[in-house]
Amino acid sequence: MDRKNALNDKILLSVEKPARYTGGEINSVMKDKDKVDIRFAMCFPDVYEIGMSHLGLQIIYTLLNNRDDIWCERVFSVWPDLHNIMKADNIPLFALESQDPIKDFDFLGITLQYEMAYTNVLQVLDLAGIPFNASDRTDADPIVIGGGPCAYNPEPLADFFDMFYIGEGETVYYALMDLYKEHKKSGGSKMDFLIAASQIPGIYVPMLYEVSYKEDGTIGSFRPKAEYADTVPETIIKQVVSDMSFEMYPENPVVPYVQATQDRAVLEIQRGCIRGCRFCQAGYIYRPFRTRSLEALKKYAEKIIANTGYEEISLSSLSSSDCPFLGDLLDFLIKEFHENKVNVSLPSLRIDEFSLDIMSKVQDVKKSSLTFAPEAGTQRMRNVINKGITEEDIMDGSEKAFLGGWNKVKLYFMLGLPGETEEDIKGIADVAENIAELYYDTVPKEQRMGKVAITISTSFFIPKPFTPFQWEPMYKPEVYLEKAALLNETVKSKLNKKSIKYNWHDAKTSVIEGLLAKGDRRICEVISKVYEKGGFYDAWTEHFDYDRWLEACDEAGVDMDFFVYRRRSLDEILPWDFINIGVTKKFMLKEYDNSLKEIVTPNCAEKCSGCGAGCFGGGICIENKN
Amino acid sequence: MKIRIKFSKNDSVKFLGHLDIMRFFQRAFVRAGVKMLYSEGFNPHQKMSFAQPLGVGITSTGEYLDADVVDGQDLTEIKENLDKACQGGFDILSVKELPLGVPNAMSAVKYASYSADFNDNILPDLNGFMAQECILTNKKTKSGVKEIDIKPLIYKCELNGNTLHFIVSAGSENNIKPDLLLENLMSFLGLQYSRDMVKITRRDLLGDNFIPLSDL
Repeated sequence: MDRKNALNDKILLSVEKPARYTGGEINSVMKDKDKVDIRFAMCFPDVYEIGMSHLGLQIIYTLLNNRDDIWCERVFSVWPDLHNIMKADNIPLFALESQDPIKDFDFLGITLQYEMAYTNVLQVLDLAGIPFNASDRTDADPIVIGGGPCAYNPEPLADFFDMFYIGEGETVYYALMDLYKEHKKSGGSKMDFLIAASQIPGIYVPMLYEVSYKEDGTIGSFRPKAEYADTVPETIIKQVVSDMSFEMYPENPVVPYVQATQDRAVLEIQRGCIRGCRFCQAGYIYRPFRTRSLEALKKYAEKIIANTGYEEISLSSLSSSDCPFLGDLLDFLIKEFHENKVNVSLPSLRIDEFSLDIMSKVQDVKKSSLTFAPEAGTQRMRNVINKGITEEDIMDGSEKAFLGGWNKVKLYFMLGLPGETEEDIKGIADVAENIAELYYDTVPKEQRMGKVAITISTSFFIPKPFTPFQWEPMYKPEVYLEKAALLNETVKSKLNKKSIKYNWHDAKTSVIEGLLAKGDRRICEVISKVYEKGGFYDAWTEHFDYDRWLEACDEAGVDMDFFVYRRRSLDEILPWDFINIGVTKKFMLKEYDNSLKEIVTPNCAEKCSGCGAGCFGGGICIENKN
Repeated sequence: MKIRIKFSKNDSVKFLGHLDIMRFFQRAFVRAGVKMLYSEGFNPHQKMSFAQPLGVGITSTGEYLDADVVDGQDLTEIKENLDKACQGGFDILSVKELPLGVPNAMSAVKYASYSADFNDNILPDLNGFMAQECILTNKKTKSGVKEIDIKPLIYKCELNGNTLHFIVSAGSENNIKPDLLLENLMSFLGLQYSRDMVKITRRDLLGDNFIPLSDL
């Protein structure tokens, strides 16, 4: 049976990678649209190859399609070449499976994985023919729902979404779908549905809330509008999967025809992180730390490879070394997949538990370099950010690696961390220099495979909501560049400068990301103005235009000094305070104070520090008590 | 053993590029449970080779790939399982064991037969196109654009209703892409050629004496 295409051959032949738009991939799900009750379009607002690399999308796709009454399809941002054609020819954005317009769907779900994709959200709405503002939509428009890590501060997108889902998709999506079916049957209005949905735990309906501001621009109050005060909750509690082993897993992920950016099977071994690095949002919003069972993981791995034919499987987690059965799992996978030559790859290993044994099991690593993320150049600064590793750990790890035959090391650091001094910046170059020296001390001349190659990459620190650094200001782009210049000079002054390469990120993108991360409802206008000026694909350096953002801020009356470069007062209402992630604000304050005192907080496996995530009754919080 | 697989490239996958198709089959073999032979070394990969890449947007009823598989597997089973693993994008038309000494698909290709369905009746006749003494064409090569006479490389060119059937030289030497012929023909007839006015299908790939690769 031939598939229909929303785009004609003339268009498809004129755009880059037309197979991004034609669907029909292995394991994509086709259903009869007349035999389902709910049509759900799941969107990753970036190009196909990026979106198809995302495990979360495959999880929701599987979850919803497991039900006979729902058909979940996929939609991505179209590339600018096709964007222009669709605008010129008035072609509505369509879903890949049915090739039907998004406007005909019941739901448009958009996953929010990084702030720089926010303009792409508007591109999707624009091409779909859905009004930007939820308040301008009619009952005939799809219900636009947002989720993912950026939904933990949904306010900069509040105008554009009918609702946000705060937490892990596995938990209350079915309840939401059941409620929608009921409403559709009884002929209730969209507003009735939104009010009812707001009572499902984890669902936030921004238009039911109002914000007032003080004269100094900070938030005066944030609460349900008076008419909904009796029905709508004041705080939204994040939803988490309590026992990972019993939840579903996408054993039949869609295999793209076009090569995805992460073109491999993904095995999510655990969620959350025990570490509590103070800059890391994922380390707090995904608490508590939960591990899937070894038996379940073995079963998933076998099925995924049989169903996809992938030649590589990658273990996914925030910190693989913290997995209690990592060695056993790797042994199993390597043995199981020997015949089909499936590679096993393992990102997110920690330097302090660096085990040559584990690394040498992972074939793929042999060919590439080792990556360490000390994040800061001095012990003082690593204590400030609670990155519990020492210079000794780094040196021990590197020494083992050198003796094991590696000679390429990548080091990740951040610049502009809270309280950073010149010494902390220069310390980064020292770490690299010491590793270079260690190589020449460790490896005898006749065993060296050429020079040691050390690459330092720095990103600029961006304070994120729900971290102990959420009150921190950012520096202006020129200050970041001065910091990068100082580090560059220091590297150049080292004896082994020829073995050390230094790259830094774009400072202008970083401050805009900071604005979008910590903004409130007043940022919506900035985003829509940037889009009106032709800005989207801002996550792509070649499409990002800093001046366009500054212009839009000016026109919207949004002051970067207020939102980005200001230290927020500890008692002000933060835009995301109405969301309860389990980890309490009290704990964040204590951690902030610990950072100022340079005190390291033990990780969850060593000792419970009472962050509050225990309220979910699962994971390490419970295991440690038993 | 070496096997030769003949497959179709259907309309739903006609926009895939050659690299996409290679990757697709690599994974389809694993899904189908075909036991493959792998190359030695650090980065083992399946031993397979395709006869001839096909342009994006063109369907086919005669594509070929040769693969090295573990001995003793049932060919009918391979055909059925592989066909299932392709989920309709490609149909597996035949799977045959290659006798020792038969040249691989890539070097066996000499000719390709195509059909081009025109949307409308824009080609009433060929108007002596093939009666020309020579058919000079600019062909892009690695070293730049070269003027060549393609007439000796066209073995058949007939119009049947709205469909043009043609056989042209293919393979590593003197490969003629269908666009090259169609563009030239249209310009001879005083018409402007564009890819969307025609649906091109590769009917088959042929070896010496115009024998399909599956029958060599």
